Amino acid sequence: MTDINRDGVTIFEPRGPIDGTSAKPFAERISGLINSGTHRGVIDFQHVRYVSSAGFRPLLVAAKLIDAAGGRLVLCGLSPRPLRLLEFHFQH
Amino acid sequence: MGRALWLGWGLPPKLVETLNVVLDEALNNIISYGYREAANDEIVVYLAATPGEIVAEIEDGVPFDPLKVPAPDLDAPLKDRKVGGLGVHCMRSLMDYVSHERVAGRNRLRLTQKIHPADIPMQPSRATHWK
Repeated sequence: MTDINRDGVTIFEPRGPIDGTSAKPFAERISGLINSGTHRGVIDFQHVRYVSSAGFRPLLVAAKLIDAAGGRLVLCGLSPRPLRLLEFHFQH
Repeated sequence: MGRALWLGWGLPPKLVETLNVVLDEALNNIISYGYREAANDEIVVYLAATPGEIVAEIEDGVPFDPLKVPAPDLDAPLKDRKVGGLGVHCMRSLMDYVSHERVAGRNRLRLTQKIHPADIPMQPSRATHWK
């Protein structure tokens, strides 16, 4: 997992599948970024081929926290499979 | 978990993807909420296929009914969305039938997907299980 800060926007690039096994470090990294003041973030999923509900849970938490702080969280690079699951879990 | 086996049975890749997602969600739910390592619990997965349906049965010991987990309100705005319940929503939505019962002191979660006979080339019932 790598992250880059560019013009006040943190770009976070997780790698590999995000499932029940790997969701914990993924969640910890996201909450760490938010706790350190990141309220404008991009999560680039180009290196992720699978995300289970265990991975979507921290995304929901992050989106709520960032939304409450008046920031913005953008997801990009989702390949068709994770995108389908994302749309399935989040109809909004 | 079952990917290689299901592909070996000749199931279409798209169906295998769905079954794999559901099995992943079901097992994660049990491990996250029901399983107790200290109790030396054992999770057993049975997979079976007939020309009409694919069945996955998961057995474990610590009493836990994932179907009692409240369904998430997917229509709620983000700020009101509750965290949790996504895995069960996934199982229920993607499978035709999901049931839970306690049998001989163990949970039995049964996930069933109806399939067209043409989608599974092999004929007699086959089953396998992992512990």
